[in-house]
Amino acid sequence: MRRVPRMAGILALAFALLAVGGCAGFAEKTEHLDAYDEFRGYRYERLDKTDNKDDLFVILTFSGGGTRAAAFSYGVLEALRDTTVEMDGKPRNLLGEVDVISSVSGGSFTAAYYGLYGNDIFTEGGRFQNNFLYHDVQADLLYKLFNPYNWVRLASPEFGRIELASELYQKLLFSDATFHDLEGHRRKPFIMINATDMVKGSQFTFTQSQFDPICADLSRFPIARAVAASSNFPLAFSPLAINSYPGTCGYTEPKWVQQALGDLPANPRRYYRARMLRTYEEADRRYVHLLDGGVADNIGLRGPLTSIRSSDVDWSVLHKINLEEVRKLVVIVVDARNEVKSGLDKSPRAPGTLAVVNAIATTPLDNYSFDSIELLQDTFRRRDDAQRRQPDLHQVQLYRIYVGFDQIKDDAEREAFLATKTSFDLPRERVDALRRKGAELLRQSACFQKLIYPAAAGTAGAEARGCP
Amino acid sequence: MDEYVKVAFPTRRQVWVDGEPGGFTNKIFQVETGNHVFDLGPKKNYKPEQQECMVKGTLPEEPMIIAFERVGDL
Repeated sequence: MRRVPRMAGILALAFALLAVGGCAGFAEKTEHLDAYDEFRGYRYERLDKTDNKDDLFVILTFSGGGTRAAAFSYGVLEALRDTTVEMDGKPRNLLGEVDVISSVSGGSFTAAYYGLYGNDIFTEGGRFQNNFLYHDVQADLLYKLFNPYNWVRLASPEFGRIELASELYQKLLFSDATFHDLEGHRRKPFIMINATDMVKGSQFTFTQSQFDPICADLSRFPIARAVAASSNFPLAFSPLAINSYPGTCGYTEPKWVQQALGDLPANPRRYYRARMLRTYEEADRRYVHLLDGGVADNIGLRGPLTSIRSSDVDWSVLHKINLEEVRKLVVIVVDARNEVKSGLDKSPRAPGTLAVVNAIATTPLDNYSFDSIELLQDTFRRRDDAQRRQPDLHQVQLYRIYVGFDQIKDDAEREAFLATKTSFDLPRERVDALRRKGAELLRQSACFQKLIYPAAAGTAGAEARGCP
Repeated sequence: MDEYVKVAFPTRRQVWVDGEPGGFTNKIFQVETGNHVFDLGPKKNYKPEQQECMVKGTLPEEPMIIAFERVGDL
């Protein structure tokens, strides 16, 4: 097996990659959408709801964090697979009830693979485990980068380092699968792979509704490229560019946009959401340059939050609640945030460039993630409070479950998990431990226990409220 | 912010918010603060045809009331 010296982390990889050079990532033309059709393409509402209805609505969010995040979220999927929950006196498998997975960066590998191949992801010694979780992907990336054949390709201004990553993920995991394959089986969960629009600084999600205003056809877009964009750590890789063809497919914007443009004083958040959508319709925007989804939201929670709080998204959970389609809403945030001790505080020496870049790249992400989690808590509590004050509102049970290393009770064990580096190469024992810990922390969650054992939750009133 | 609306109509039917089904008549439902267009969907046996409202400052106990009147089937 090829080996390269283990690097200190993704940032060290970044500098190695920068030394080789390469410009914007743009090897493959994004297909043009000939005619806008709101009933075609990869959209939540087009998925089959026969076996997985919306009454128990389960949203998972998978954070970034390289293989650490992928293994941790994998462990949560394993626990869900082994759990049943009762609805109307009938047992339902909880994994089969997952409606949406919103993912970022490392978590996008697990989400996309599960979305494409379902339970095949759990095959011991299968492709996901062998070629990704327990594989030194980082070494493969470096091998590709230092291959002289690729230097010639990288000399092209339209071929960037991110294209090498995309090719590798295609070979290792996703073959030639496109979003047409995700659409094809019409099976939930709806997979939301998130990247960041580096010009606008906003989240960019690989769904057809995001591609509509740029008149691009997501169905022919390779899954490997979407995952590469989502895990496109700044500096380590070049931004990934996709084509934009605004105004060429008969796109009509949703009705809420015009309304929201008058909302600046009353609801700035909604106003800026509308403004952001409008920017994709600007005729001179010919490309969208994408970075790691973690730059805009490192836990993948912002999209689901908007869906729960607003009717302005095509899979609005708020609409589903108002239409009395949802009785239990479960949001499970899987956050593989780490806390690697640098030791910089022990020395008077000025931190080096690598340490400064690391601080710039990660500190805002962690702060923003914390805010997102608080916003979810606030959203659920306000809804719960409103339901108690107004019985005429549809009564939905709210379950908010957070799975993160901070919840490990044992100090030494918690420190060990928090110290896990961000890398695409972790030792087998660490991957195993992350899988086990993801499953264990989910099962230990008091809110999760309340979801699967409602009778043990105490009074009927407590059960009816869930755990907002 | 969260706002609360009740659309009054003689019978129960779907309420459309900004062009999408988003609630039921005579039942309080939640919307986001801001300008919204309310109507009762494609079967146009009601008036006015739609109502554009700024929904702001409501409470669960004091929702904004938006009334539609039934007219003969068109």
